[in-house]
Amino acid sequence: MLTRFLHRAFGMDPEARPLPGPQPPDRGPFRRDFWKSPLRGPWLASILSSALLPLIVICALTGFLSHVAYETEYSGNSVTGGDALLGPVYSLLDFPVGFAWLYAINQGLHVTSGLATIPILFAKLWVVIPKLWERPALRSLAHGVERISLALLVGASLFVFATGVLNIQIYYPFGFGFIPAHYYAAFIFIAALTFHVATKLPDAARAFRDRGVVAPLRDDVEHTEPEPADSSESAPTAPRPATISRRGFVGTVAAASIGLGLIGAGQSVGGVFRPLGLLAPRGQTIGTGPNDFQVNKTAMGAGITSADTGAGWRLELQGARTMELSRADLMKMPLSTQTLPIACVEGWSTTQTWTGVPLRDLGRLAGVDDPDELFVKSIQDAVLGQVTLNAAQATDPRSLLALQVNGADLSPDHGFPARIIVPALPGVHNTKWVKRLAFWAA
Amino acid sequence: MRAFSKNYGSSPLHLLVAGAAFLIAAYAGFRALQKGPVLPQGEWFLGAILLHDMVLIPVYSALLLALLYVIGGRAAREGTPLSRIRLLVLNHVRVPAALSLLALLVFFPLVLGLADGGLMGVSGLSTDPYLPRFLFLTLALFAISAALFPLRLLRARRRAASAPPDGG
Repeated sequence: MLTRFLHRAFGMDPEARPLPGPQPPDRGPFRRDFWKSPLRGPWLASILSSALLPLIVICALTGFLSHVAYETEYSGNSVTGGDALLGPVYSLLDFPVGFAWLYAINQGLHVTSGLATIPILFAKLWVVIPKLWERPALRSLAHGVERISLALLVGASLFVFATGVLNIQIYYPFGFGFIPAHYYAAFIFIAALTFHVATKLPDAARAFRDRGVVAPLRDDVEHTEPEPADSSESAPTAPRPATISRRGFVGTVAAASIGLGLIGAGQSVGGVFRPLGLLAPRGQTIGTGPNDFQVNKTAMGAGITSADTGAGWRLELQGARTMELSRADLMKMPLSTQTLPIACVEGWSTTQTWTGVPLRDLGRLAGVDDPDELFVKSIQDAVLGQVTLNAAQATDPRSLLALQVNGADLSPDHGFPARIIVPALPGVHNTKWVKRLAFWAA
Repeated sequence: MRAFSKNYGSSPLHLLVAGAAFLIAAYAGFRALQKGPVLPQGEWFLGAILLHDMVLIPVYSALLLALLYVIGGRAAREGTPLSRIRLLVLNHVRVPAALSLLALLVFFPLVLGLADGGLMGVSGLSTDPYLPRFLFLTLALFAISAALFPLRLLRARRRAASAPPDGG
């Protein structure tokens, strides 16, 4: 039904008027017999696409959900703000606080699915490369439109994956900010992909109908025949004998995809699984002490000195009344202990046991029993050196101004003298080296 | 309708959906360039369009072809099927090599220590462990491949022995 509709609406008219103008020479890669692999063809392209599409959907959805979690409607919470297209959607949605590991899972899925996509994307581009060189270069206006959209699709997808992969390794060879570039390239990627799926879904359906969904995986290398040359421009007209079966090719791609996925999952799940993240930026196990777990930024990296956090440190508490509290004052308040994750947008997480003063108790102390917003400011002077938490986050009984972790005082790197820890909050919003808490009544 | 299809090459819906996609792409491109510098973002996007198809594919295709000619010998040069043992050798070399090169392509900033400034300066982590880890992974991939080789050779021989003489 759907594929028949798509075929009628998005299929190419074989009688379309060809575009005038020069054609590429009938030489080299422009000749179809230049491309020798017997594996290329619509079935192989389709089976790879069937794995790509769900992975990309997961990667894109979790990516956009992360922006929901950043509560971008509060200025200072993110650096992407001002997106007229999805910004209004984000302000309508609140990322739930209930399940503390929700953001960890969201970002683990985002980075893991992204990493797992890379080998399949490369394989797909290899399969369809003859189409880049097809003759005639432009069969019709519609064909030209499709080719432009394909350039956007290839460019945006590789741009998104390249910047994402470099960002998780904290390596910035590009001369632009990662977040807006990655974010807006995803728009181009998803827009071009939607059009691509609409135009190509009937081809995939036909390839599966003609050859079966998994049947070609049963052939060993000696029985690996090329797909018919007239089935697609990617199928070879003069193939070389097969040197690997389709099963072998797809299996290798799957192994690469699962391998990269495990590296991502290892640093996301953490704990005993962290060593699985062999090459992952957070695949290192640091030690066994109470403060021996990963940080995004060290105190030194954030420019925090012991003069800022020493005996002279006071928490500025603002609400219906204003007061200053020393760390000793805070330690004398009723403390709560919670096991909660720190989950970085970069896809790594670590779950620890935190002890501190519940944020809602501090709200009450400031004379705001029912806060609508909580503004948190760090000593750190940085782009995300402050955050605004919503009512659900500020009043959840598990939300703490943490003073200790795993029974020991916070180390300087983990935010001594005090840090925020809130369920299902993006890691960077769990502000370290807290200087000021301002509760705003409803 | 027919005239549109003849002139355009597909239905109006094709043009409409493509137009919507281009509009979103134009908005996103405009916003990205508003938020960040034009030149490096444009260069990287253009690079993303061209680099893989025009550089990466020719380079690794040439590598694969060279490997095929070295291992496949005369059969490879003449375009006839390779013997079973040559096929096995070829795949037991190029599959672990491809997996290793992919790992390097994805994690080169850590493996080559290029990310040391960022990771060390910001997060207090050294990139020192990554080169040994990468070499270990590469070694493990080739070791697994080598361990599987005799098993698969045996299986291929057994299958060849039980196949009818004309090859089926």
